[in-house]
Amino acid sequence: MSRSRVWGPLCALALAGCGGRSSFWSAPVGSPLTFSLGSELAVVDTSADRVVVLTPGADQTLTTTAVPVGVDILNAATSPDGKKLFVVSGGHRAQLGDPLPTEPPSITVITDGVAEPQRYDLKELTEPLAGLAIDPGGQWVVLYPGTGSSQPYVENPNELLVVDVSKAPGVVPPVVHTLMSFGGHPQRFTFTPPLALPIGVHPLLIVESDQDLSLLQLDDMSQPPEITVPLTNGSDTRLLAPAGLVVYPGDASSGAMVGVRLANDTDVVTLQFVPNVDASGNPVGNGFLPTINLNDVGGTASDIAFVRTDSGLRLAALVPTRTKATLIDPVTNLTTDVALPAGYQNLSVVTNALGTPSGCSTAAASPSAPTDVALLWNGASGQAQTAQSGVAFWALGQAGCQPYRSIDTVGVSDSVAQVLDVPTPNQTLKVLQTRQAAAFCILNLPNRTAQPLETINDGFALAVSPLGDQVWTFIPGGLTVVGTDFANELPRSLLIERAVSGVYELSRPAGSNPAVVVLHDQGGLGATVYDAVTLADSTRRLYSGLLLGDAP
Amino acid sequence: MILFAAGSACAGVGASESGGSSASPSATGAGGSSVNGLGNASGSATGGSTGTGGVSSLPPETEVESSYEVPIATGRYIWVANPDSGRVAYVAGATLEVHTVDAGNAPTYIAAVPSSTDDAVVVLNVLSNDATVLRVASDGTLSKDTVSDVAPGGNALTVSPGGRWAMAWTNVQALQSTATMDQLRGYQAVTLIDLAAQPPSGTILSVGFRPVDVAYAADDSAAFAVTQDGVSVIDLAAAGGPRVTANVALTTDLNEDADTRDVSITPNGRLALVRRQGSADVDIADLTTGTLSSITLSGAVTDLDLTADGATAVAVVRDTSEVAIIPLGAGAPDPAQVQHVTITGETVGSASIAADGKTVLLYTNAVAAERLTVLTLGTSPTFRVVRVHAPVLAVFATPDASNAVVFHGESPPPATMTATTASAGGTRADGGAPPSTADAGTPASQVPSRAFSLVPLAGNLPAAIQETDVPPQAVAITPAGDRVLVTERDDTNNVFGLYVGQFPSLQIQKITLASPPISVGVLATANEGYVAQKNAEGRITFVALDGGQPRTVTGFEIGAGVVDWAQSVHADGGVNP
Repeated sequence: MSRSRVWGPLCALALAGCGGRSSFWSAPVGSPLTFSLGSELAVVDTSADRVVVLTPGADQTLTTTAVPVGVDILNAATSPDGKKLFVVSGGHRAQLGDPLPTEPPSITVITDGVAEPQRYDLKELTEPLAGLAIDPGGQWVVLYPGTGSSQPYVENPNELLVVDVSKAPGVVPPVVHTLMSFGGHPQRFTFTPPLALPIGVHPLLIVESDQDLSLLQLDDMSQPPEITVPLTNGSDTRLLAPAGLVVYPGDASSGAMVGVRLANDTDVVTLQFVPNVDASGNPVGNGFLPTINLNDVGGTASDIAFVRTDSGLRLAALVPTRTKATLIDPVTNLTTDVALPAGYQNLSVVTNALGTPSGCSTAAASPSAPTDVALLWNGASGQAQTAQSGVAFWALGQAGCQPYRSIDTVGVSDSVAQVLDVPTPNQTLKVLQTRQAAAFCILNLPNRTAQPLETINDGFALAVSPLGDQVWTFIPGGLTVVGTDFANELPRSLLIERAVSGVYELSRPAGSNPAVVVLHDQGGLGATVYDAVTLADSTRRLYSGLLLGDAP
Repeated sequence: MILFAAGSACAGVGASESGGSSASPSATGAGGSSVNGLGNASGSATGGSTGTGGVSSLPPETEVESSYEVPIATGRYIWVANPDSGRVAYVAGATLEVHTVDAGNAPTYIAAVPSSTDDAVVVLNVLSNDATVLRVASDGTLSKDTVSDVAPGGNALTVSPGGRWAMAWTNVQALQSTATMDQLRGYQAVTLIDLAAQPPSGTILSVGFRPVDVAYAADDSAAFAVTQDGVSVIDLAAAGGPRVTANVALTTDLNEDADTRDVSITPNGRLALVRRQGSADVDIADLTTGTLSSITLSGAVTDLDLTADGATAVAVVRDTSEVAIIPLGAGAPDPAQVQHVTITGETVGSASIAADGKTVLLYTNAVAAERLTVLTLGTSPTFRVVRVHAPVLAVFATPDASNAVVFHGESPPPATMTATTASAGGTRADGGAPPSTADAGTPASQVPSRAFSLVPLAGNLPAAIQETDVPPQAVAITPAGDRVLVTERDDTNNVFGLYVGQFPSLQIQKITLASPPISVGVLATANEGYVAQKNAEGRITFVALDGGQPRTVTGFEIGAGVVDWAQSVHADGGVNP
């Protein structure tokens, strides 16, 4: 069944005698992109225009399934829930005598556990779009111009292609849309949850360019064009650029809000929404308009988040250069500074992970006015010089239970590079990946303890199990893989005989333990498969040449 | 006093902190009145901080000086000029929609134009020596006209009651307060702008030496400039355009210090009433004939006020607690026609006439008096005394005279009094006012204290006192008289707030503000109160008068740049592609 592929030099030697053989046989096997889909591992085989799906079975068996995708893979990414893989292909334009037929750009959607992929041909495009933004709600995919080798000679950076991937291919035609621009180039795309807008509850796509924002209604593409929100005063010679945004969807007492931090200014921008109607009360344009408020927080904000305090909803902004956070009342613009023990750069609201507001007992917390707890740390490598070590908990309310806006530091001595979430059932834990330190930590949010786990050196990578049971530590290119279960926090090593390129824990059918697949990007891609619970060396299996069969 | 009279003019007299503009009482927007600027005879200075220095280690905001001037309200919009950008922003109170429009070079002073058909303002551009007339129709369409050749150096705009005329002039008192007055200049050039002409046109005229006030006849037929030479009478109905027809002297004493005069002109333009500090005489000049007459009272007149219709003047003599009610409907009255009422047992030095023209609130802030007197005018005037719970500093009646807002005062320590007196006069560049100083007839022995009261006047109900964090700064009252907005401001301690009071419930809601308030007012058509604040990008907090919910807009020019591409018309008035 499988046909072997050979390495590049051998292929070159064989080409002369191969005649019209598919290029698949002569393309090198490099280090393919790999994505966990939960119970399957998707390997994007770019040179073969396919995705090879690896499915662990009983007794550490590993089944490979080749899924053909469009020609000329440009991009691939999973949905935020990790259950779907979206593969963007550029297609092919056949020249005269070309043995390959013409094929339009396309998106192929591969869903975990579903045999048949969905392929959306994008006949609206002549020049492929390599940029890919995926709606967490699962409905939309937006393609936008990419950079690098995929960029055509002439490109409109504001061209978008909106695809409704909640419907089967062909049901809803993709929509080509060009963002109105004052010279900006799209940088980031945010699909909001449904927002409480004056026209009702609608999700928005918010596009951050390098100088403004665009707000689009996506739930009905027949809706009017977008709303452009500038961020620079017309009298200002600078060009203020957004650096990220957060969204509050609204509640019974207040409408939706958007917070935007700026890359090169000390203002934090808040947007609220008001009706846009004519004198008769009929909607005008989109039927709503954002109102803008600028809030000077005294320094460039490194992170922002909407938080619930005992004074109500606030937009929290971290200002590491001032060793403080600022709480902004989006209604009155009133700001309250909160001194921090260190110049924290990152903020995560961990209230939901804690399960009860403020970490207080349920009896003490007011159910009608829950307040948040935020985790503070330093994650931006670019500001490492000013960053302080460690993490801290920031309690944002409930004076009767916690000191008002209290700050509790955790004794982590290393600088934290990244905070990794742990899925259920251990969602109250966080894994702290340190920067340039031979250790990582398992942070227990309810107990506010940090269990250090030390390594021999600092060149390791971490992968949290999607099943939430353990964290995998490995050295890329090395032979070391260690699993640390969250229940006992005991490290257990695997016996690995090939260089490691990735570690993935995958679920198996009910009744079976999950498997851990250790990939080796040598020998046409190989893998070592362990039982992720027993980690028994005796039952592990080694596979090689995983990409050497099933030519398209 | 004129300043306090503005408090009752909740239907539209703006209390601009820059002192540069005013609108007629028929304007549908309403500006607030302030108390910290006691003693500015033009009634244009308002309050602010009472201290200096002191910077928190972690201040809420690091701000540069505001680019925006004090706003003006029309029925639906707040208008704010930005001299730096050359644009005027107008913000819709109902929707918070922000627009900007290009004006001339350095648009600085704005005045509302009374109009029943649209929202209109006139803008004085101080560097291009022209004016811009802006009108927004009910459908939101903006029109703009430019009036060139405006006399240079103007710092004030005054619009006639009917909205036909606007006068750009130089208020010498404002110049004195900023110490920029050229001692050799007369500042006599004024520009009359005919707003009804198509397009609006201007006429430059010369009035008397150093004008300090401007007034109009109620029918827009004449304008008057109060100057050191007297009152310059401008015929607005003259063939060929406006022209100065007379100068009516206000004294026969050529050496009189004009700064001691407090001049009021009746709305019909017929009479000018003059009160002088320390004098027992009320002089009345007939502006038609130039005749000068005098009514002598029982002592030094400490306050003189006119009813809104100009039919009656009320003069107060504190030393004898005498109130003189002077009928003016038939011209300069015979002294025998004057009613004299003695407020027995009370000390009254100031009068505030409610908009109903029948109710006069009498009080003193020269001593710590916790009472005010309600005088009802008529054939046989009657009065009664209302008790409040702290010394009275200023009183502002609602238009229907059913209620009043009282700002409270306290006796200052000697050191404070010295400092207060030394820094008298003027308005700070940021819109804040210096510490209070003495009125010509009412020595400011009281300084603002941290409280105000809502006082029912119609019944025998007790007043409700509200403690504030810092002394109240300004007040605005809705035309219906059912809501009052009181601001507080202390830059030193970063205390900025707004109190929304309700009549008749006397309930008070406090809203903390993010930045220093510079003016407060009411958008009557939109049923919104507003507080403009000092902010580099411009900031206004709107308060729904029904529910009290605040909403804030910051960054006028950015907000005006928002484009809904689905609309055919750009927010700035341009057409979208």
